[in-house]
Amino acid sequence: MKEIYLFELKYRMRRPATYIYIFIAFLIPLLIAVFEKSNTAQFTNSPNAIMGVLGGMSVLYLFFYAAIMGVAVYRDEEHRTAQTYFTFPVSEKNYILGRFWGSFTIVTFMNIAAVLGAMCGFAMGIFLDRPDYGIYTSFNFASYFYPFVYLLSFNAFFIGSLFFGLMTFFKRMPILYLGGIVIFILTIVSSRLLANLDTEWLSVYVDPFGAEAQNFIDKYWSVHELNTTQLSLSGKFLINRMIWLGLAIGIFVFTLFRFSYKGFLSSKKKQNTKEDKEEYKAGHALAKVVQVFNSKARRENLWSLSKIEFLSIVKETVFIILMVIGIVIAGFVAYQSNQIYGTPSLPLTRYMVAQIAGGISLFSVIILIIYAGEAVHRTRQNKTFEFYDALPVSNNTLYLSKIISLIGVAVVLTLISIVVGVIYQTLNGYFDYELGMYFVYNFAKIFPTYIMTLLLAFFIHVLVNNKFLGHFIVIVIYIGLPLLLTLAFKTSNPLVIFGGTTGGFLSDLNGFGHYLVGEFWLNSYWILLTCILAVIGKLFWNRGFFSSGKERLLLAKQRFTGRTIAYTLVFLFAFASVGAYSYYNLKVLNQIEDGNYGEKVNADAEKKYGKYIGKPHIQVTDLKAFIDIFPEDRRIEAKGEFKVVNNFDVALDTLLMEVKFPIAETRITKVVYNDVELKPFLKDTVYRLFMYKLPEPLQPEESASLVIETEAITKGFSSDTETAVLGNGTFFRDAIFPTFHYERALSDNGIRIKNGLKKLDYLLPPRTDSIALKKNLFNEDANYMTFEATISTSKGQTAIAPGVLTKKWEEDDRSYFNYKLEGKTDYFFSFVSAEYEVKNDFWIAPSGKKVDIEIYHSPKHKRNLDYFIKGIKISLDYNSKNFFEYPYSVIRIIEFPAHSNFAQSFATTIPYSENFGFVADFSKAEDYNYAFRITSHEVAHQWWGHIVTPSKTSGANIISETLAEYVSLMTMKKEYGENGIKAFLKNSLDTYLSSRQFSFKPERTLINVETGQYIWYEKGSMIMYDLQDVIGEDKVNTGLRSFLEEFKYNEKGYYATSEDLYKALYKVTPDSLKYKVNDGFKEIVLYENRVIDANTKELKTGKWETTFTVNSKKIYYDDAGREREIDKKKNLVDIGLFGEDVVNDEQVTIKDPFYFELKWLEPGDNKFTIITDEKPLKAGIDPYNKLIDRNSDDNLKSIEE
Amino acid sequence: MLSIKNLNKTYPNGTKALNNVNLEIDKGMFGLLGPNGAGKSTLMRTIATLQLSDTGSIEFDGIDVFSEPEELRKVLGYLPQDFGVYPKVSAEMMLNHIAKIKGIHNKSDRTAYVSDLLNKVNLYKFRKRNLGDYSGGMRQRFGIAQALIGNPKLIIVDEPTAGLDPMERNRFHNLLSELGEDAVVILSTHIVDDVVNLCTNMAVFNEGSVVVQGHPLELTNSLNGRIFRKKIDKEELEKYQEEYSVLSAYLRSGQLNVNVYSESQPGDGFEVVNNTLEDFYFYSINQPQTV
Repeated sequence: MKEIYLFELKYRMRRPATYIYIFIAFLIPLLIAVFEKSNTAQFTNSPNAIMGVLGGMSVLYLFFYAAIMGVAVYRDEEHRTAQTYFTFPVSEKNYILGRFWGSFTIVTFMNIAAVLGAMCGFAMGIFLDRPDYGIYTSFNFASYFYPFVYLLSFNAFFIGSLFFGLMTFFKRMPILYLGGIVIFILTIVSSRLLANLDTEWLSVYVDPFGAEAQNFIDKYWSVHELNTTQLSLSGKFLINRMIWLGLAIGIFVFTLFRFSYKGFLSSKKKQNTKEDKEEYKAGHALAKVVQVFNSKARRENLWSLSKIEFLSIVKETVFIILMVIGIVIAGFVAYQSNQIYGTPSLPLTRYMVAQIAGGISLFSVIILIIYAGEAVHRTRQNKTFEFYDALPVSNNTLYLSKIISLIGVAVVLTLISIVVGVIYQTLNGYFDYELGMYFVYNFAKIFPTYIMTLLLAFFIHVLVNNKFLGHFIVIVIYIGLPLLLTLAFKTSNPLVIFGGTTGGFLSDLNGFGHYLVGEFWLNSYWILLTCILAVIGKLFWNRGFFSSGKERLLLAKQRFTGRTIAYTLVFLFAFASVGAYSYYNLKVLNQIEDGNYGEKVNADAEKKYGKYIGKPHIQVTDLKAFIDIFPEDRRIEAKGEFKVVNNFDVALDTLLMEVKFPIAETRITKVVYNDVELKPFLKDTVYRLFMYKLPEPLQPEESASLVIETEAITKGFSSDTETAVLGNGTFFRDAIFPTFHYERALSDNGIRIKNGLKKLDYLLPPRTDSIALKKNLFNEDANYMTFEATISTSKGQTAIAPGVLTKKWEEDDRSYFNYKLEGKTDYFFSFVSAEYEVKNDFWIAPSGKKVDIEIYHSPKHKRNLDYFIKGIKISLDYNSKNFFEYPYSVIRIIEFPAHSNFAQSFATTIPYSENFGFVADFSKAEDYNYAFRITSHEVAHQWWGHIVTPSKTSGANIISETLAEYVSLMTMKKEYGENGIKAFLKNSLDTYLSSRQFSFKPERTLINVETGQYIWYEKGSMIMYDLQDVIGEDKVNTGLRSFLEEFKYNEKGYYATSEDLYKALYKVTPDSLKYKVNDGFKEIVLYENRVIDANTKELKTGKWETTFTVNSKKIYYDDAGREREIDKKKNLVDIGLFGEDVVNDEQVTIKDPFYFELKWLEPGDNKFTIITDEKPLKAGIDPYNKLIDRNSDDNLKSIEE
Repeated sequence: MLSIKNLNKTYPNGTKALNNVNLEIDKGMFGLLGPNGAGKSTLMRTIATLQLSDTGSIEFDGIDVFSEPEELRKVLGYLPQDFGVYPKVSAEMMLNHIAKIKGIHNKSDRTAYVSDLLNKVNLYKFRKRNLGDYSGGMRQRFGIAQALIGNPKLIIVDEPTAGLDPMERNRFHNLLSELGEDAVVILSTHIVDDVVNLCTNMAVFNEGSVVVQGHPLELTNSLNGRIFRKKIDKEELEKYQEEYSVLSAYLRSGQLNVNVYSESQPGDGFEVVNNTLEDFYFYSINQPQTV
């Protein structure tokens, strides 16, 4: 065995491929580690990050493990050495062991190289001194060693023994591909499972590589834990590793014992050989046949060769299996991703095309790369070329036939996407197939990428002339190069990233929009480039035995004649023209800059204009907006007639204006101040900031009139998706007018330091800043102001701005609308235009006031409108009754195209993404009806945000978001009952806990939160729900009502802070429970509650007496996630006994409590004895997971009898 | 018809496979005799457009092989020494395909032609069988069949009879000599008898160059009276090899014999033999062999 082992080792060490593998194994983690970046407080080289880098390598190296381990025995078959080898006096077991361990040693070298690569990479990362890449911790060998053992080595052993076994028994190369792909799918599946709360536990078992399992395990870890905890073989990770290691050992042992020389040598089962009994009958035309070599014959040859090549691909088992796997994955992806908040969406064609393509196209690309390699190497591999290449078929024909066959395959793959989509829709009972969209999407967006992929892969394979190396280079170019360009150069320029296009989105309102134009040009650009490669490839086409590079070059020169030159020139010319045209559009007409550029512009601006932060400036009291939207040209013209005032106690002599509109080319065309036209004395067209000298200073309390005209135009096609103005579905905000103050644009401390700016601990001023208290969070350019808008758009479209529609008319083939807002609001407006249908309803306020409800929706979206209306009504009702009557006489929801998923509440008007409920399938009651919930949240913002506007201080945003979330939860409770919100709370808990590790620098408490959505939404809703649960909803609402009374409409002269909200709630809370308000708002608290044991016995009375012990633990954490203190006081926690889960009227599974009480629990064990009528099955502490607890599974325990 | 001039080829690893090869070959069978590794296959491939030479030229019937390989391929029939097949394709289908490539576009003609060809190589019975399931001999016969498609003017066969049983071998030889009436047939082999039986012209090829070229009989006769044989003991071989120009050492009924070349009677125990082409072959490659 030793000799076999040493021979294997020596054999490998003599092969250049081995060194290439090892070098690649070293290089990839090095590059990844160099570019590893941490935007959070996690160290860039934390144990978790290192595990991520090395764990990822396992998946990537799958290919190499398979190649090295798989061929160890297969080699003896391939080189036909088996026959002699097996006659030597070596036992079968020693042969297998020697081959296996020899190969495994090589694989281990690779893994060691990977570890060294990662070490070097991180070391280089430290050395490069890039503050924007995060903070590094000191080198820790263990952080590399454990992933090396538990991930790399275990995985190498598993993959190695699997492929070693497979190839030993099956002796066929395709097995390598298939096995690899199956493993790859398992990883995809496990990462998909991880994304779903109900199935995430499965990833522990399904993930063969361990990294996904570990991701599941450390999902709720804090930054501190990620920074300090080493990978350890325990708990669920141990289970995962043991399962796959066990399987690996099983396969290895099986191979070891089942392998026999005889079995290996016996060829595959004899096929039924067809033998024709029929004797030869001499036919006609024997001796002399006509040979034709004209162009018609050439064409026929080309066609017939292409057909043969095509069939030899599509008839192959591997191809079919890959296809089937691709289809299954596509179905899985569609099923998994066609949902929002766990609620399925309708299988609309616009979803299907993207999701099916998302699943299949990866496989299609794999197939095309594999078969491009096969097409190049097929005759070589089976040695047919030795006579075939001497046949009178031109290089052109040979070469083209292969490309044509691959294009044929690409067509098949594209059509399959369509068929699968239609079948998926049909199976889901959805019959509104939009075949046009299917074809356009697949043939205009997907097919071109297939073409460029196959041409590139084909070219590389021709040039490299080594299958494995070829595949590898293709993968590097296809994945590695774009990654490198993006990471190293922060570029998103589609002209340099292979296959890059401008992108866009599909919408029911806006269809394909204007995006196909850019995609067409960029696809043409890349296809033409690959066509040039294809022509060059032809020069290097290997025919016969030409091998040395010199010879190939010589031949290439020879072949580079006449027509080839002509084709090259034609393609070059076309490529250059298309490239130039695209460049003109992307870079000349529009802007395309790398990420560093934007950072630098923002940093320079802060250096120049930072001095204006917090300085007095004019504020708006009245605005009359005149907005003209031109959807066809995607252009806006706007005029604002402002009345402005100086609310500060110093005179103002300059006027600062910054353009923040998302369309790059937005210009201020005219500024008239008190009837004097102003010209800027400072023009910063890069940052779009302008400064004007006022004719005479504006004195404190003095007002002036200001008219600003602006224009936003789009030109050609841009790499920016430019969603503000669309053909059908325009949605933009008041940013069409410039702001009157400067605000910081960079908040990431790493990026700030890199660009020479000061580190910021807090982004907003503290709550003690008296000037900040006078500004509202949303826009400091105004306090409460009046608003009127005259808005025009193309005929047929409806344009909407906040306020009551007072007038609408048509003029010059355009539609005009005038809106006037009742009362005042903060400076926060939206302008929307599209072809809408309107659904009307109304709501009567407690005072008897009638409020019109309007839903502006796409004619295609009628299905869920009632949920929106219900959400509006219930929220209007709840807020009006509990806090303050709704101040307006209209409220509306307006759909906007699917470029993003959100809804936003402006006074009277809530623009709502078409993806956000309009096309969801709410038919199942257990699914969470987010249309209702988000609507009630957004409506609540009319109070929490617009009536009480947060001050521009740290933490104040909870007044808007946490309270809207609270109202939304209460309306849900009202509508669906306590049980209806269980799923919601579960999601909140999960989102909060799993987002902590991604927190922006230290984790803030609720009262101090500035950027963490997961804190003001998810943690906020958990805290508020618990509070109203223990002190009562009415009490909470009383507190909130007095809070609103105090701060509404800025009557007090300053805006509310989170501390004000805290005080309002603290006041209404009984003393014994005040700790809950404190814990919730001012601390980071995690509970570790669990049931220790539970026993029940039947009493003589027929009742059941249950004795159970629960353990209660509450821990305070600091902002880095370090444990600070374990609470020693009593806490009020739910305990309960439950029967079997029951299914309620709405088909939702719910718990069935026999006993359920809030109890004061001592820290540590608490024992209870409870008598119930029926026999309980489970005992629980905080069984509904109302408290924040990282392990909610142990809160319930089965009761023993 | 086939004229090879100053052909040179050195492989990247330094092996000089062709060393200033010059050959003029006319219609008829031409034998290319040489030991293993002499460069025969390199020469064959080079003529068959599958490989480039470093210098020199090959011209066939007015076609410059290097600059117009496609023209040559139209009139070429080539059976390489070692070749593969598409394992999942039947012989009939493959031959049909090749016939099409070779310009036989009339479908009924082609079908009849392929059937005839299959019959000629005795594969008609097995025509529907996948090539992957063919035995070595059958595969070789398939190779022969494909080389004959389209009545080629230049037929190059590299070790064609390897793996054929004697009957098939004869059958093939007949087929080949039939073709030789009308075309240039180059038969590359290390089996001397094949050349004797078939060829009107031949060349001995060794270490990349043509050692000698001529008619087999004439070449044989050129050594008449200068080849001697002696029975010797095994232990003596080394001594003889030092003293004489030993062409070959071989066993006859268990007794070791040596054939030596000498201008005059070399001495005791040596007798003049009825020399054959084999002796000439050994003489010309000047490399004593043990057969």
